[in-house]
Amino acid sequence: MSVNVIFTGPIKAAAGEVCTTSDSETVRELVAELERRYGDEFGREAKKTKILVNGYAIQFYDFLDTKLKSGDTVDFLQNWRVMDKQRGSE
Amino acid sequence: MGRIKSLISSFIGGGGYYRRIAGGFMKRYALIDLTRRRVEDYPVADEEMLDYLGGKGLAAHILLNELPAGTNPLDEDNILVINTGVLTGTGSPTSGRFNAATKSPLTGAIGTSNSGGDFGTFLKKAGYDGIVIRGKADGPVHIDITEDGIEILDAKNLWGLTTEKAQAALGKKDAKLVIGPAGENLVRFASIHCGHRVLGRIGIGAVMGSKHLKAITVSGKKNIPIARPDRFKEVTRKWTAALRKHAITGYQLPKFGTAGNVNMCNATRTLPVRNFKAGHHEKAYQISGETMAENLLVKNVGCRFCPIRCGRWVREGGKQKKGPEYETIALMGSNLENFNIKKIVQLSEACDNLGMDTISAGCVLGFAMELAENGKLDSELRFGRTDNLVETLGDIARRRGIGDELAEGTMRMAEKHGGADYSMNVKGLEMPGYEPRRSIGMGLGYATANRGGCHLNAGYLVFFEAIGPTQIDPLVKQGKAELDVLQQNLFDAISTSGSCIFTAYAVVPSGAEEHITPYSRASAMMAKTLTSSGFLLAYQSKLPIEKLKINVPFIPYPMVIAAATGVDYSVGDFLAAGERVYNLERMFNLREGFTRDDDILPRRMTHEQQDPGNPDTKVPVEAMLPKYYKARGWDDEGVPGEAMLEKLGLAGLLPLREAVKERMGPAHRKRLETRKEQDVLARQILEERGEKK
Repeated sequence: MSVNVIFTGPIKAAAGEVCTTSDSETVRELVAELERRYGDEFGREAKKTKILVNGYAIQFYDFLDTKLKSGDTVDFLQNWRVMDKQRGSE
Repeated sequence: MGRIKSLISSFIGGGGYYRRIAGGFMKRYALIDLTRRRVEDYPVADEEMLDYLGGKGLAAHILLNELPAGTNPLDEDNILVINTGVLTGTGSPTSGRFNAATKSPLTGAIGTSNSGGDFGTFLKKAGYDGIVIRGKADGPVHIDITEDGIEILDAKNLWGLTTEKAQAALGKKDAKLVIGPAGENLVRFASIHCGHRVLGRIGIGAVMGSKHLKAITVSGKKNIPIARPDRFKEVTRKWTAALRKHAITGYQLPKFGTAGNVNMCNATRTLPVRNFKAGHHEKAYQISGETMAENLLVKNVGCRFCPIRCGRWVREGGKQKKGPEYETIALMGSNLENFNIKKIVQLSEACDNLGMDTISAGCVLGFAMELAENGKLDSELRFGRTDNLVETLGDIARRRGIGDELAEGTMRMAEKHGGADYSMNVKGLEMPGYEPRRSIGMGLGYATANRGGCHLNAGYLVFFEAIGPTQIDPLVKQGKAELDVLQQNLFDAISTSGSCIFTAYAVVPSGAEEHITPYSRASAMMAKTLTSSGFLLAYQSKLPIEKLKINVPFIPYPMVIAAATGVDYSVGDFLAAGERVYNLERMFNLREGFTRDDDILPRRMTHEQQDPGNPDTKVPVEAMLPKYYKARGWDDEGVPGEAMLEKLGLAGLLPLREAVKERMGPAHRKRLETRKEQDVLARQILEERGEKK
């Protein structure tokens, strides 16, 4: 089975890519797998991230124990934070 | 006579002591009669200015007093109020906003539109807080406003020009408002343009066009008085700093503009796709703010006095031009299955030049595409096909061929062709770019918004239910009605004061995710607490909110207003002003025959599950309305209660309330009959002018 994973916001930088896939069966397994794949910084960023399965935020379902099935889309969605002093210029 | 009574009652019946304004306002309105080509002062009492903070609230008050019930929106008797809020032009953060209001030719309800740009600031610098325009000129005219007065000038040489060419032809003025061919041809969702900013919604450009009014220009150098300058400087400095530090107003909006919402809406399934059939598409990232920033962005730009600077300037087709906002990207992009960001820039530019609302135009195109797909409309418009869209927009603006039908908007198109279930409008105003079946509080907000399908008038609960840093369960009913009321009141207060609603983002502190993991049990518990607090918020209508004489740092507006005007002002006063505006606009709509039957959404939103596997993914408007009315202090027919009107100092509307209640039953039906009779006026005007093709 394969789920699609999409990163939005600052966590993209920690992942180093916009999207990926995984065979994890729960969100908990997925987070652990991605932390192994991308490193500790990803793990830290993941704790500041909304996680949605097919658009449903997991905290309103089974939290990290939310089950995944083939074809699901998991979004790691971070709102932007003031990351650095760079802002658009005018 | 209505004006005299109003002035007297504002002194002796206003419910309080006389408050003297020492700043913020210029204390002058002008009445411009285009039929008689006359200009005179229009008296507005200080108490009225303070009760509504100027802006949309005062405009609604003027319309309710001056506009006879049942007026045809395109008739010369309709009134157009263009005015400023108390803070407009003062230099407080985002104080470049101004407002226009009328009876909408698209909906028949109260129509308000708000814009950034320079017009409001320079209207004040010319010496006026607002202008009230009535009548109809016998040929194209241009109103010119300076410190020396107001002139009505011939504009035959401007008629027919795009908004860009018209603004250029007007020469050196401090600020300009113009309509394009769409307004001249009475397209029901025509807009008014101010530089690169737009009074976009409700067909306000068509009202100008019906009056033969092509442009309004303004120049002035007067100082806008500030009662307590040192205090004003102090509070605005702190407010600016807070906006710059906040994650949304200080980073996301400057860096990505409102287009930064695309990926977030897509992830949360609140992005309209294929005429609101779906809420997500795998190609949405191609039209996101991030993609625009990486590939097209030249710089960000902002309105006068704005530290947020959410505007985009992009390079496309070898030229620099305005970049599209989120709404345009959603309605002209994903809603049409158009995932080409450059094409969206072109469509946005076309709408701007022709003078049309991109939200309504996008919804109209989406509806036409689905009608064509279902064999109900003979048209070449197809989802995913973009090569004919710019031409179609031109046809709409000039009412050519099928454009003549599309120019009438989705509500009227459905009356002719069917498909009402997926005609995506509320009260006739096309829905904006947030699909509410995954944000049901937003859906309730749409259904109850006074001007119709508007995300801002709705209270923007999608921020809490989907795309904001904190999140409440988007599919539960609990607490949503009450939160909608609170947000709607807050947004109306901000808007009427002359500030930008984007400043409201900073009312909610950012950075919570640094301390509480968004998907944790603690976060879920906080969300549950917020929605459960609805039972407290349910009594907000009974609270004498105006007696809440406190100020808090994260709601800076009342402190700035107090410093500007010299009048003591608190959070309670500010929220009461918003509540007053909301109820006043509701009374206007009730007078015009709107009823509870109009507080609805298209059936696609209420009866079709967005997720076929989840029956909760539709908006249960009917189930949520009773709680909404209760939280508003309205009866079960959606009419403001006597206690509410008295609480807000609107006791003068009690006789109107009684009249509305008496004819409640047949009012809705009568309004629909009247509208169909009145709709023929657009064709009569165009035929008379010889402009109908």
